[in-house]
Amino acid sequence: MLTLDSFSNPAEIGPLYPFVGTEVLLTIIGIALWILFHILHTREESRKWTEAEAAFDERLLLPGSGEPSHVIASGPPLT
Amino acid sequence: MTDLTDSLNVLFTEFYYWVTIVIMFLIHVGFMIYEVGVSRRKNLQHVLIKNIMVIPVVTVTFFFFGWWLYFAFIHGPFINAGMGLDPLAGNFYPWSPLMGPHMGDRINGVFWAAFLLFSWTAASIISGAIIERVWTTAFLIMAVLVGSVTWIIGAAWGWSPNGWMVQLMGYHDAYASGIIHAIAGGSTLAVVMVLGPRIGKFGPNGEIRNIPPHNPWMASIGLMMIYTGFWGFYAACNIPVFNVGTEGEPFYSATNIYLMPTTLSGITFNFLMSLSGGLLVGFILSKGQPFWTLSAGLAGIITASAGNDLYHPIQAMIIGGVGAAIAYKAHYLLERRLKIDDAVGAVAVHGVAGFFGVVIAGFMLWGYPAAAPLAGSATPWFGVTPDGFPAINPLGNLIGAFILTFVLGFAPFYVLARVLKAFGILRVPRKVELAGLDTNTFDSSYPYFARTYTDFEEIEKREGLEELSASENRT
Repeated sequence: MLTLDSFSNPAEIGPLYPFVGTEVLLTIIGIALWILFHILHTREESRKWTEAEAAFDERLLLPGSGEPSHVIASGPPLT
Repeated sequence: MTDLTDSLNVLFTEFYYWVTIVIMFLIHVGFMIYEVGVSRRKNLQHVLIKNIMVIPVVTVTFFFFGWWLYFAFIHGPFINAGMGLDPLAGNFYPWSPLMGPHMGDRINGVFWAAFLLFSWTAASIISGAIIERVWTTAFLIMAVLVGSVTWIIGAAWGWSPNGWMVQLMGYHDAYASGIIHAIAGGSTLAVVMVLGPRIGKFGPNGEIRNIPPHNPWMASIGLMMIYTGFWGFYAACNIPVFNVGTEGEPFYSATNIYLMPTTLSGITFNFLMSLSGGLLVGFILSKGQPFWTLSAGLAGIITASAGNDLYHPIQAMIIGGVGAAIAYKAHYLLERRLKIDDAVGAVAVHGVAGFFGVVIAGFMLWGYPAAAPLAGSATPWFGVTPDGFPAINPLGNLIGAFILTFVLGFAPFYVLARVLKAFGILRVPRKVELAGLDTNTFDSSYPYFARTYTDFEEIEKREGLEELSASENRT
């Protein structure tokens, strides 16, 4: 059943959503998207920390600052 | 839905749970505000996004498999009389027609969502303890494990009238002292042990240093918001209208999750009295610190929650006060002895208070009916009531508290944290932690405020740089 075209007999109506019968496929797609999210997020976070470490090594990021590097660059020395 | 009285009952129940869900949303808002308040400014946007992403990740996984686990695993499986998966569980596969808008069902979605909000809470309990040093990736995997697997298995076992812990041991835990708080607290303990303390938290001779929150006012508001959401949680743990009489002589009442009678009015007494007991004790013990007074209030509710469906309000107050004292002492004991850096006291407030709350309920409610006996269930291990119902008892609740805290809480999370650590995705690099997790990614959280530093940050900077220098010299 792709769609419902009448609500005239509500006692006979079960699911209200369109494309009844595709639930298993929808589940597979949903789980795949969830796993994809974790893969993409892990990669992104790994990249983020690697860049932050590099910025620290280049003294663009300073310890205990509490501010991004461009703010630190214009602030007083922290040593 | 053709009989008006039946229809009104169903539609009222549907609306009742829907309202509880909206109120419970405030628990998550509260956790977020609280954790951001406790964090230092260099980390707070990282903390913020970690809390935000709990919502989608736990929601979708709870849809895919968490809700099904609640129905499928009530017998263990195979613990109670060898019974396997419950046949009713077929209605809760993610592909079941009842997992969506359906004219034959009004309750599944709101009941699912009420439990889901508990799942977010379980994840948020872990979240606060591990702030300022954990990968978001690692935390979100933990959130899925606690929110969509371990706590809901605990709920199947001990928070369902047919759960094997209820049927065989007479386990009773009406408002989830053990089912949510002990599980999440035990999980948190395992994670903080593997994760380790923040840089500079403990001095060279093991002395404990206080890491001041960036905004104590915000932390306090967050805790008050958690209290507010807790009202919704208590209501959501009840069935609003149920026939506790017989078919011939019906008697309609609210019930607890085990379908045993209680009243919304009674639990309102007990919620406030246990909160008050915790606040009074917390105020005295902490010498009036707002943070610990409020946390003790929370510990008070959590301790009394296991039996707050049946306690007298003054009993609830005393139990709440005892729980708050235990949690307060336990937090500093864990910090001193195990060198645990739990930024928000989650292990003590949720884990320890939850554990003792379950144990106390076993003694206080000894002999009360736990739930109606399930057809085909084995004989209860620790006694039955004169009506043949499994009886609440101290041993059943003690064993239950151990199972929840250590089998479903500590053990799986110790393994998971070890695995995440082995893959290098548990703790952020030391340099990033030292600089602040926000600093290379986000703009300043308070761009118009003057930069200020606490004494602790000076210590952290000095010792962190020394540690990094020593580490680089070794390599």
